[in-house]
Amino acid sequence: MNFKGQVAVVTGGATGIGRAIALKLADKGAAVMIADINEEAAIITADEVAEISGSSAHFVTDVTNVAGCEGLAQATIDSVGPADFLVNNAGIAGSPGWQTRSHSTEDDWKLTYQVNVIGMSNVTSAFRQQMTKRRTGRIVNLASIAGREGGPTLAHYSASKAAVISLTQSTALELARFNITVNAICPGLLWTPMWEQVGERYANDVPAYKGMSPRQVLDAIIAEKIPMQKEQTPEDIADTVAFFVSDDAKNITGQALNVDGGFYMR
Amino acid sequence: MDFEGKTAVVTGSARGIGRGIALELAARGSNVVIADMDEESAREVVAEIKAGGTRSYYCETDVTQQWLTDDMVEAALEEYGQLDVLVNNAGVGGSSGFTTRKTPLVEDWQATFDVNVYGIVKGTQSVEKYMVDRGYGKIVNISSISGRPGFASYAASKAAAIRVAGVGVQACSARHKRQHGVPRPNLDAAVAGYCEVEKIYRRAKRWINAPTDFPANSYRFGAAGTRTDPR
Repeated sequence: MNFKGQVAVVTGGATGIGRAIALKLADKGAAVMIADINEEAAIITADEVAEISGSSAHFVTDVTNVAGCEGLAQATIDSVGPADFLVNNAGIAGSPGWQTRSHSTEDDWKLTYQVNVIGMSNVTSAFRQQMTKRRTGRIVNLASIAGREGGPTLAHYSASKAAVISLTQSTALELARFNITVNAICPGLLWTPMWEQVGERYANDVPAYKGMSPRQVLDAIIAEKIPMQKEQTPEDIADTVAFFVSDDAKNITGQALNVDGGFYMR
Repeated sequence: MDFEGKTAVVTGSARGIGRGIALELAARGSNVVIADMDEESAREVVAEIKAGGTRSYYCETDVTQQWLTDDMVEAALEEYGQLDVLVNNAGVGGSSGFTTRKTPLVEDWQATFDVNVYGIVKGTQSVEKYMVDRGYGKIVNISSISGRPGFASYAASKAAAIRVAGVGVQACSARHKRQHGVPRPNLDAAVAGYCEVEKIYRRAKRWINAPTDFPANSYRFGAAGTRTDPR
């Protein structure tokens, strides 16, 4: 795998899984545009990428803003060149305060769809022309195993990630004739700041996890649900992105791949 | 991806997809056992792999016979000292003459399940104890997109193959955990797309006799725009 001379865009690329993806692609030689709403963190990650692959840029992006997404697409061409890979990673788990509520509110539904689904579509639409024109492109959408089946909390989040899987299939069908592949990744259980809050909510709302710390909740779910008995890491997800954008995956499109130690098998 | 020093056994690797898999693993550094029944084609693959610089030999294997898959695994361990990867690729489309039939005979059901399902089960059972004891191993089963809706007997066998993988990983997992309390072999169902191999030409011939089955599949071809290469 060598991505020298190729350009990747990672939304939500400043921190967490997005950052791991950016660093992995940089490690294989790609120039990376870090698109994130958090400018300070975006600059730090863009600097890290520049040290690895020699080329990076950052652009402050709110994926819910169509004009902002178009600005990102243009800024990518102007700074690092037209995009070969687009990684739609930006996502949220709810509207502010979601981790303290036991039920999804209308605001949770609206904002989560706005970012995770409509925002993803906004970014893809903004990059569509530069990819179709060059008859090349790889798009990777971050879904979640939460999108594979409902859970006892966070209905809005699970539903939004199921929508991402469906959106991936539709986009794949639309763009196949332009030699563009579109695939999704469904990460399993990762110990991230987001999961820390999910764990808090489980400990409050699910009787089986009452009184546990968030980390204990995660370990209990891993022991119960994950055949390989270990958590996944941002690097696991980054490796899968690298596969989907590589030549090895040139004939794979419209798929959603679970990276979850066997948690879910459909 | 570097498989330097690894050993892989690929069933049905004398031709088609299996051959593509064997050559690709070898190109990435792996020693590969060509387990097949077609000796002549198998020997050509062996020669090609050796010319590329890694080790290979032909192992005459009928995956419907457990003692033969046991032999296949034992011989590989004797020859290379370790076995890292088993690709359960061997498969059939029906019993002989199936290409000329519109609907599968009981013999076709029997043959596809003997090879496509029980063949995978037997190959996996032969390697399971070794991999579980070692606490490492990769098993890849070749299914087919027709394991999602499609031709009755072949499709049903390939759908079963996907389930065998799912249940297999849970069983291996539980057993290994009981014995060792640490992670266990991976088991994955790889779903093969349509490939440009002889079987497809035979199937295409059958489509002509059963035109109502064609649109759904041709749509998939159209959407992807390209055919899948065995590699």
